[in-house]
Amino acid sequence: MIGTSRASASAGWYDWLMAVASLWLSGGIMIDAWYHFHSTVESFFEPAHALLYAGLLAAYVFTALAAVSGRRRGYPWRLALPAGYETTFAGLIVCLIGGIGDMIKHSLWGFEQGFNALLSPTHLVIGAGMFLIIAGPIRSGLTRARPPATLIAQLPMLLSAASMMELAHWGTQFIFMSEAESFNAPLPPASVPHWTLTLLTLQYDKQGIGLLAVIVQSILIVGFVLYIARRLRPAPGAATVLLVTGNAFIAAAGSNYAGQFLSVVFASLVAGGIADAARLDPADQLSLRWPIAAFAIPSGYWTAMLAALAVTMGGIWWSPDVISGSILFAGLAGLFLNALTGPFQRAT
Amino acid sequence: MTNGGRGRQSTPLDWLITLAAVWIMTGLFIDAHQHLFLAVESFINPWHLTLYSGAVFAAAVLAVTIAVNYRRAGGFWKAVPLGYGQSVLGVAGLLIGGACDAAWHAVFGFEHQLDLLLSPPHLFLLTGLFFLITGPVRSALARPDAKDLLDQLPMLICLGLAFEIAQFVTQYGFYPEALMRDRPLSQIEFHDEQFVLSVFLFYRQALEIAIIIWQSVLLAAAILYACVGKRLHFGAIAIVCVVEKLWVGGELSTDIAALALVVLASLVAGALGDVVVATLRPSVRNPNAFRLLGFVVPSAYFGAYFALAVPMFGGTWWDASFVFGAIVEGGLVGLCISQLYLAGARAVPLVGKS
Repeated sequence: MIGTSRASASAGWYDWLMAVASLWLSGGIMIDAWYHFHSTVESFFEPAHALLYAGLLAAYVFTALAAVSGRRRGYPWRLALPAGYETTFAGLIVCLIGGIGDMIKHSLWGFEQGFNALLSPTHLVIGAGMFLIIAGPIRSGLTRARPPATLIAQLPMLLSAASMMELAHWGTQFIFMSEAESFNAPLPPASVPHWTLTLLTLQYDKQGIGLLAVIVQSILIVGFVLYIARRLRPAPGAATVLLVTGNAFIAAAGSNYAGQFLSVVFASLVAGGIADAARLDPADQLSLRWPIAAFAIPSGYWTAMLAALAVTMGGIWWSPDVISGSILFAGLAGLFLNALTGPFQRAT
Repeated sequence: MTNGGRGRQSTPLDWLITLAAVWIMTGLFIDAHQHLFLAVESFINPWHLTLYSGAVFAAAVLAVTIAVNYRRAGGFWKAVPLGYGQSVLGVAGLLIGGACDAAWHAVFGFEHQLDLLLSPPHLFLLTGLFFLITGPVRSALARPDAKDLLDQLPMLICLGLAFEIAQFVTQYGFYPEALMRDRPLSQIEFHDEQFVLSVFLFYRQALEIAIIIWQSVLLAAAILYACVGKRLHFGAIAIVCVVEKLWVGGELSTDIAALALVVLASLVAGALGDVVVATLRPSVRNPNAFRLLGFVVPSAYFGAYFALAVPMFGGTWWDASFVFGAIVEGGLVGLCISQLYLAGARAVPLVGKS
């Protein structure tokens, strides 16, 4: 790996441009998802696809500009990109390979329908490429001798991390919304006697998905907050920016009612507020603040989410056991993630 | 706290608590299996007895150990062996959780179906159980590396069983229903029911992808935790992989072949993981090998699951995108988990050498 002698002087403007490209990509992919949900998409050539691929193109153009700038300042081509952007370059290549593979796959087996689009291996390769592209501003900030300390200086990293979160949401969009609202309640099994078995199965599947949504969203929220907070001291407000931006696009794409969208934003504000109030310090990771925050952030998120849904959407259908248990379980998921992935002290 | 002066070897206490952990978890999962597949009418049944007698045995073992150490150590907490402080709290948690559960039942009645897994007193009880049975893991982490695989067994078994508790409370997120015998009814064949069947298909597929993600999280988290904590001997990853899925696989399987599929896939994934550990020595100081381990094991698990399903069950009803996507997605999830471990491990220098 090429080391510290990269063209780091050009990182400032490039960090911001790549943060914009990251938001463009994640926003574009969510607008495309909304478009697929709400209209019949018959052709590859439609506005949402154009927006999405323009974001990808922007990442290529910005990276080319940064490389040319580095080259003009006397760096050889292999060192022309600022430190931390090795993964961005790799991601651009992975996306290209994934795109070609996807085209071949489509010509051999046709276009994917429904969930197949989310699990198509070539789509996953493209997604992994996008992750690598977006990782640039985060790695750039972390490679500096003095990592960014103010909220403004941390914004490119935070917006990139939020974009990563949105991409993770895109791949797991079927377990973003809990479907806990009353209008989403399955019919009681006894209500249609000759369909009892069908309704029982549906009730099980809906409740199972709702609970997995609680677990997976808790892991995503705590995972992103812990990752950032373990690598640098987050500025006041940083976690709120991360969680609100990281959840807003998918919430907009997946909501059919304003109440659903507002519930996600409110819950993200609450969870972000808790994380910011915890003032996590990477230099003191054995402090009790970490497990307390890791528990409180996801349980706060789900408490706020279920309360807001109950108020704005006319109640929720989950039983008291499931409501209280899922809030507790969200906290436990965060707590164990913190314990598992925290700093290690071991005997020699 | 005392380490009993036994150096780097597992102590008799480690083995006894491991025995208790296997005992309790076997009772718990057989009880759950009976609830799923048979009508359980009474609290007094052999499986409840197994479960609770295991807990009493563990409490007795801890009590005797502390009593023996008490006079020499000169205080209760000083008499608790190193790594077992939280196990003592776990026993207390079981007692408090039991009392809370009785009160909860008196107020809200008995839980049914998924409510049973999410009832707060039950979660409290299981958290107590988690702390109780992870004593051998903490004990091993507090000692220098073991000299052979046998000596690491209590740690590996208890680590796998700790993840079985997570499997227990999320058992709706274990079995992917991917086998040919699980295929949904054809919407073409049952045209009149097309709408209902399409809704079914949507929820089943959503649940299945969520299961791939969740199982990959658990598998990667378990093996990477073992790998971060200790220098592992060959076979250690396979043991964690199998133990992490054996009990829940047994609970949810309707026949021995379904359980054998889970065990064989875990063995294949674990064996590959052991090869990575033996050849590349993944650790937080060798991050690329560590990431590779995170990717390989969950990916290999699903790869082996689908490959073995062909001779054992006539294959899967999932199409190529789903099958290969599951294998890739499992690996990517494991990769993300490895990144989280690396972020945590880098922030505070490790004590000692890896």
